This record gives sequence, C-alpha cells and structure tokens, in this order.
Amino acid sequence: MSSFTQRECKILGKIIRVSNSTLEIDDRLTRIVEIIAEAFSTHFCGLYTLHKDKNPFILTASSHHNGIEADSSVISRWEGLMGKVAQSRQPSFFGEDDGTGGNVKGMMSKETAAFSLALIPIADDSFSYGVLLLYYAQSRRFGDDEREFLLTVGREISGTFRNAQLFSEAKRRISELTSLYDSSRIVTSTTEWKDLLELVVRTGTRVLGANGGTLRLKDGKTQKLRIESQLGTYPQSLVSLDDEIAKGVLSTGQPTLIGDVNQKREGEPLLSLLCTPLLSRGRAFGTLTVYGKKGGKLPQNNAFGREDERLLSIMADQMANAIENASARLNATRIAEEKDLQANQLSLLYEINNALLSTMKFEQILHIILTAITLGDGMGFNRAMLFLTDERKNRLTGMMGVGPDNAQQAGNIWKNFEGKRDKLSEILSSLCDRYSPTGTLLDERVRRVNIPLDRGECILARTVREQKPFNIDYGRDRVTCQKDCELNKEINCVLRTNSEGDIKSYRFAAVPLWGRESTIGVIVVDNFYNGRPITDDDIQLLTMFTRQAGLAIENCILYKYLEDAHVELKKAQETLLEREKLAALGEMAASVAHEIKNPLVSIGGYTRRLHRKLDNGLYEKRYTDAIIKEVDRLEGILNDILHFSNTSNVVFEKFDVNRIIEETLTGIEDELRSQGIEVEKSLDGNLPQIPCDYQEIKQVFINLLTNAKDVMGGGGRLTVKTFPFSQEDRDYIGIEIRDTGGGIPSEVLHNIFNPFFTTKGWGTGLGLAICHRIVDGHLGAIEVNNDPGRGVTFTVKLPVEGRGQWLTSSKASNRTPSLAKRQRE
Amino acid sequence: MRGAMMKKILVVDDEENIRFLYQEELEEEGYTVDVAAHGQEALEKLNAFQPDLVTLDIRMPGMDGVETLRKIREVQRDLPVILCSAFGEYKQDLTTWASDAYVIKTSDLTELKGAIKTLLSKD
Repeated sequence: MSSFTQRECKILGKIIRVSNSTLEIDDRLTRIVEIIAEAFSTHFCGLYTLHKDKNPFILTASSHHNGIEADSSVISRWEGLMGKVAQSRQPSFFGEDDGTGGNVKGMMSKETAAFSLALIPIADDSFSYGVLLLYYAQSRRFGDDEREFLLTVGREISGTFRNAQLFSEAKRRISELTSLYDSSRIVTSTTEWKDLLELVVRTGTRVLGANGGTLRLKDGKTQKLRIESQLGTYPQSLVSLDDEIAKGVLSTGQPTLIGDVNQKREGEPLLSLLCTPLLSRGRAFGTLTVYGKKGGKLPQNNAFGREDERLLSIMADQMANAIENASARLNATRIAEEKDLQANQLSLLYEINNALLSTMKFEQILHIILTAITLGDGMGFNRAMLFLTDERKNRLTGMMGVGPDNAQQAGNIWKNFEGKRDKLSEILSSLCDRYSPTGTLLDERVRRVNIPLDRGECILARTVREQKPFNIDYGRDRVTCQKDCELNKEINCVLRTNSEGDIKSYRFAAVPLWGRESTIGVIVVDNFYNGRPITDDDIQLLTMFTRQAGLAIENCILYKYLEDAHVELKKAQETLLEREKLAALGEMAASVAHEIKNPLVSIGGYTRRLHRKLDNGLYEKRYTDAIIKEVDRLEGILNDILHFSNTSNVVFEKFDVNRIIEETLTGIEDELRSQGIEVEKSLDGNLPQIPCDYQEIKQVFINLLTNAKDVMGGGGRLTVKTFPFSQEDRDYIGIEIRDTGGGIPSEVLHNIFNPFFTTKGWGTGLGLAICHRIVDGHLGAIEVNNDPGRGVTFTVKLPVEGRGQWLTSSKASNRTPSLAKRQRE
Repeated sequence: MRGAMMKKILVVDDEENIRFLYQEELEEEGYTVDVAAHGQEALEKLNAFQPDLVTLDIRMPGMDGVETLRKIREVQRDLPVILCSAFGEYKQDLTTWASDAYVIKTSDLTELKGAIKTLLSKD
C-alpha cells in the first residue's frame, strides 16, 4: 500500500464530497467523471454501467476534452474488453510500456495512431457496476501509484453506486410502504363501492408508475370477468389480449408479466403489461392489470420487472381483502335495504289493512283501496281504477276510479297531505271521508266501462284470464286493442286530451284482484301526471296489496250477501210473527164471533118475523129493513172472520161448480139488477164435477161476485164464464169473473190478496185473502188480470183430480147423503 | 084436526131466543113444534113427543149435539136430524155424517126451512 500524495488526497476528497452529495445519481457520476477527467487530463473519460439485459454497457457519464467524443454506437465494439474488466474486476491499462495500443483501434471517432487507455472496474465485493474508461489520444504511461490511485477512485465510485442503489432501494421501500399504507387505507376506508374500485386501480397504477389500469371482477351469476373500473388511456390494440391474459390469471391464480406486448411488431413502442390476481382464500375472484410503465430517461426502463410484479402482488393481496370486505358490506347493505324496504312495505300493507278493516261498506272499501294505491305515502301511483268481474254475464265492469282530473288538482290533493305525520290508516280514513270519487271525470268514465271477458286481446280481460299482472309501456310493448273497446274509448280518451299528444310514452299496469278461489277483478294503475316509470318492484308491492284488497272486497261482498240474507230472514220472521199474531187474533175473533153469532141469529130472525108481520107501506118497515140489512152485514163479517181463522172444517165432495155459481148469482141477483149490472153467463155444460168443499167454493164465488158488484156501483157488465182445460197433463176447470169496474190501481195490485187490505172503504178486507186461501187449499190457483181503466178479470182454476179425491172415493157406502147431494138429486 | 096431519119437529137448542124463534118460524110453516133446552131433555121428549124431525144445536152445555145425535140414532135410526151450528166446527167430525143435514145458523132461516122440507117430503 502506498500513501497518496496531497494532490491525490485532494482529488479523492472532491470525489467523496460529490459522492456524498444530495445530487441525483446521474449528476453525481457526471461530476465525478469530470473531476477524474480534469485530474488526469484525459482526452475522454467515460463511465460505462453494466446493464442486465441486451446492452451490457451504457455510457452513464462522460467528459470530453480536446474535441474527442465517444461514439456511443460503437460501444459494442469494445464490449469484449470492458466485459473482461467488469467480469474479472481487474483493471486493464494500455500505455506505451504495455504495447497493446493498436488493439483498440477504431474506438474513437477520430482515430489516432497512438493512444493510451485505462479501464478501471467499478465493483465491490459482491457486485460489478461497470467500467471507468480513461482515454488519451497519445502515448502515455500509467505509473504504479497512478494505477493504485485509479483503483481507489474506482472503488469510491462503486461506493457511490452502492449508495445510490441503497438510496433507491430505500426510496423504493418507502414507496412500497407508502403503497401498502395507501392500500391499507383503502382496506379501512368506508368509501362507496364504485369509489373503492376506482381507488384500487388508481393506487395500483400510481405505485407501479403505470399509464393505466383495469380492475376486473368475477360476476357472481355468470362467473365471467367483468371490467369494474378502468383508468388511464387504454391502447386499443391491447383489448382482446388483455382480456385473454386476465382470464388466464383468473384461472391459474398466478400473475403474468409481459415485458413488451409489441415486441414482435416493428415500429411499435414498447408496451409492458402486468396482471395480478385478486385472491380470496387462494381463489381468484378478479384481476388487476396495469400497463404502460412510465420509465426514466431510457426506453428500457419502461418495462415492468419482477420487482413490480412483487409489489403489485403485495398490493393486490391487501386490496383483495378490501374489495372482499366492501363486497360483503355492500351485500349486507343491500340486504339491510331490502329488509328495510320489506319492513316498510309490510307496515304499509298493515296500515292499509287497518283502514280496510274499519269499514264493511262496499263503496268505502273500494275507495280506501284505490286511495291507498294513489296516496303519496302509500304506493304513490297517479291514478287507480278498479274493475270487477261479473261471472254471470262474463264481463268486466268498471266500479270506481280514483285520481285527479288534471295535474293542478293532483298537486292540490298531494299538497294537502304532505308533511302530515298521521298514521296512514288515519289519513286514508279521513281522506276517504273528505273526498268522494263520485263525480270525478275518471270515476264516471271507469263506471261506464263494461268489457266482455272473452275479448282476446284486451289487457284487462287477459289479466283476469291469465291471472297475472301486466306492466305495459305503449312505447315499448305492442298493445293491440279492440277498436270499440270501452276502456280504450273511456280511458284513452282522457289520455289523448290530457297528455299533450304524447300517447306513445303512456305506461300503465294491470294487476289481478284475487279472491279466495279465483280472480274477482282487475286494478289498473298509471302515472299519468308525473310519468314515473312503473318498476317490477312497484308491481310486486301492488300484487301483494291486491291479494289483500281482493280478499277485503270479497269479504265485503259476502258480508253484503249475508246482510241481505239477514234482512230477508228478518222480514220472513216478521211476516211469520205477523201471521202468528193474525192467527191468534183470528182465533180470538172466531170465539168472539161464535158468541155473537147466536144473538145475531136471534136479532135477525125476530126482525125478519117482525118485518113480515108489518103491513107493506108501513113506515116502521123501514126500521126493520135497516136492522135486517145490518144484521146481514154483521153475519157476513162474522162468516169472513170465521172462515179466515178456521181452515180445518173442509169437506171435499164432488160438486157441479156451474150449479154453485148459479146459486150464488141467484143470491145477489136482486142487488145486481137494482145497480143496473148486466150479467152475461157462459157456463160450459160439459164441465166435470170436481172434488171441493161446497161451502168454501161458494164463499169464493160470493166474495168474487160481491166484489165485482161493489166496484160497479154505477152499473156495468158482469161476465161469468166456466170452461174445462188441461195444463201440464192435468185437467182443470176454469171460472172467469170479469167486471167493468175500472180495474185496480197498479200500485196496490200486489196487495189485493193480503188479509185486511181493502180499497172499498168497508168490509173486512178479508174477501180476496179468503178466496186465495180456499183456492190454495183446493190445489188450484187464482189469477188476476187487471186492465186499468176498464176492469178486472179474476180466473179461478181448480183441478179435476184434486185433493179431496181420496176422501170422496173412500166414503163409506152406507153414509147418508148430505143435504147438498140430495138437493141435486 | 089440522094437527093430526101436521109433521112434528123437535127443536133442540140451549138458547131460549133461538128455540122460540125456530118454534115461531116453523109453526108458521105449518109444523107442530116442541122444544128442548139440552140433549137430555131432547132424548126424553123423543118418546113423549114422537117428532118426525129433530133440529139439533151442536154446541150445548153438558151433552152436546153430536153426542145427542148418537143417542138418538140408538133409539130411532131413521129419524131425520138436522145439525145446526154457528159455524162448521164439527163438519169434519165423521160422527156428524150420521146426521141427515148440516146447516149453518143464520138469521135467515130459508136454508133451514128448505132442508126440513126436503127431508120431510121424502117420506
């Protein structure tokens, strides 16, 4: 070891100062080279650094003197020499005493015959960084001290390199740490899903110094990669290759590094690509690709290396966690939101249901249903219409429409209820109390709608038939409607006049109303005023609701039936009670009548005697006459009452009805004559005898003929006709009694057979009731043919083979013939 | 004597006014009339009076008309009997068929007189 001279120490000091300075490594090397060039008065001094790849030596720094410049293109020509030095880490000197000068001819642009060259290895114990070249365009001798000193300088430069490398390593570490920190920030950040994915790509490209990046994730459903986020400019030539690489990375789970995608293409710039998998528990669920590394000054630096690959993998691991967590969080949020929505929907349905339960009135139920659909706090449709099926007629009938007639009205209604925090059920009830749909344009139009259910194309009919909802967009769906469709006519008419001509954008939905067993109708909704699209969620909620609504409507209808039935039963019960009361009254009346009968017989009988004994023309005869008449009347009333209250005293025997009629007519012929009533008899001589109760049938004729006589107080024509006829294979006889008394007012016609009904102003009002009862008892019928303004025809029909058949035929042979029978004999 | 030729009618009724009315009316028609206020008396008078015909009120205290009719039939099977009633309350009772006529009481005795005439003219 020789000690350095003061000058050498000074040079070394300069070099060390520069080496330890904060300048960029390239600048430091340049300065050092300049110091050396100056100190050794070289014509050229250059520092060649070793490069791993294709160009082993790169002129990193140089200093020129005396017009000599190194031609970088010829560096390759001395590669052998420099390589030897670098590999052996032994210096080479070519001076006048070395005798090798000619071997390096052509190294410099300006060739000289004589030159000297010193090649100093820049290396430490473990690594060779390059070669320091000193060139003299003349013969020169390198002394031992000089050689020793140059080696020392070389070592110092290697120290500079190592320092720089350590520094850059440290810097890289810091940047790695920074990137890890960045990625960890991503991991813990609560940013939005989309933002997070973008952040991942941005961090990846920044840390790797890439031009752009792409994040792909595997779609849960299709299992295919989908680009989630992309940054930077993306070379179009890369697209398909990029996808293929990402697919490969996803399946292998291993990163792929391509130094230059355009390697095989002449003239294309270098494009490097690095793709790394995003792993979760060893399985790839996505890829992160970066491309186009932003290099340093040299194009060689624009390719990603193993370091980059490692760095990106580290980051990807961290970010994969972050993405996974975020994805889980996203799912959780989504589920929570869904649950929230469901809870809201349930509470909405609950509230509406409460409102529905508050009433059993049909119209109100419909109103609440449609209001709930249109209310902002409810389902918020603009308009709702309800149609019910009429199974008997196989038609769909409009029941109610709720919705404003115009946008202004819509705004007013909505404004009124904005911000109110009452329970929805209360709002619904109060709204339904305050606003009636009746009279609105929509309601009127809906109520006019009546569509046959078998009409093929009609959406409403199809909704009922196919029992599924339809969400129709006139612009999107092909909707064919019948030309004469009432719905089209009614609802679309409103559309055309109100929607400012833009019929094409009209959207509506038809949802079936389900009852317990089948579809009972359709609800149609639209967003006529605000044009909000109807979503599948809307339809789903509406469907849930219409199931409830359908049941409510059905319940209401059933309830109505029940109520009607109840009313009818109540009526029937009242009638029964009334009849019982009447029966009781009748019995009482009968027993009273019975007690009165005997005295009446006495009064009447004695008066008749008295009457006969009085001389004709005697004034007192008028008194007895009055008494007789009044007694007759009383007896008549008594007979009526007794007849009506007692039906068990019927004895059937065969009688000639013509004869009974003749007898009855004879009984009243004086009165008929005195009233100027003309009698026209048309009695069929071949009329068969029929089984009947003589007294009862006579009573029927008395009542009918008396009535006829009474309504013709001012005269008229009484027509009595008998005839046999057949009906449904049974033989009957008919008795027709016609008057010209002006007929019965039609409003009381239905009452005439009711007991105690009378238009005469006298009598018991039992006459026709008794007739009815008697004819019924004979299995016959009594019909009335009213000709208002003219007269009435009563027709009594009695069966030839009647109820009394067995009685008449089973009569004991030794039975004594009755009076009536004997009268005929 | 006109009386020897006259038919005899026994009127049975619990009401005196009715009995008297029937008696007066029927005597005017040329019959010999006796009266009985109840069934027992009627049965007693059958032998004493020997009527050709009996009018019998159905509703009477004690032995009613139907019962009386049965007893009459026991002793005089062929004696014509007319049942009289305020209303046809026993009409369906088969025992009333044992009578020869059934007349509903009214103040107008035409029907009753007709029935009597018919029954008596048969002999």
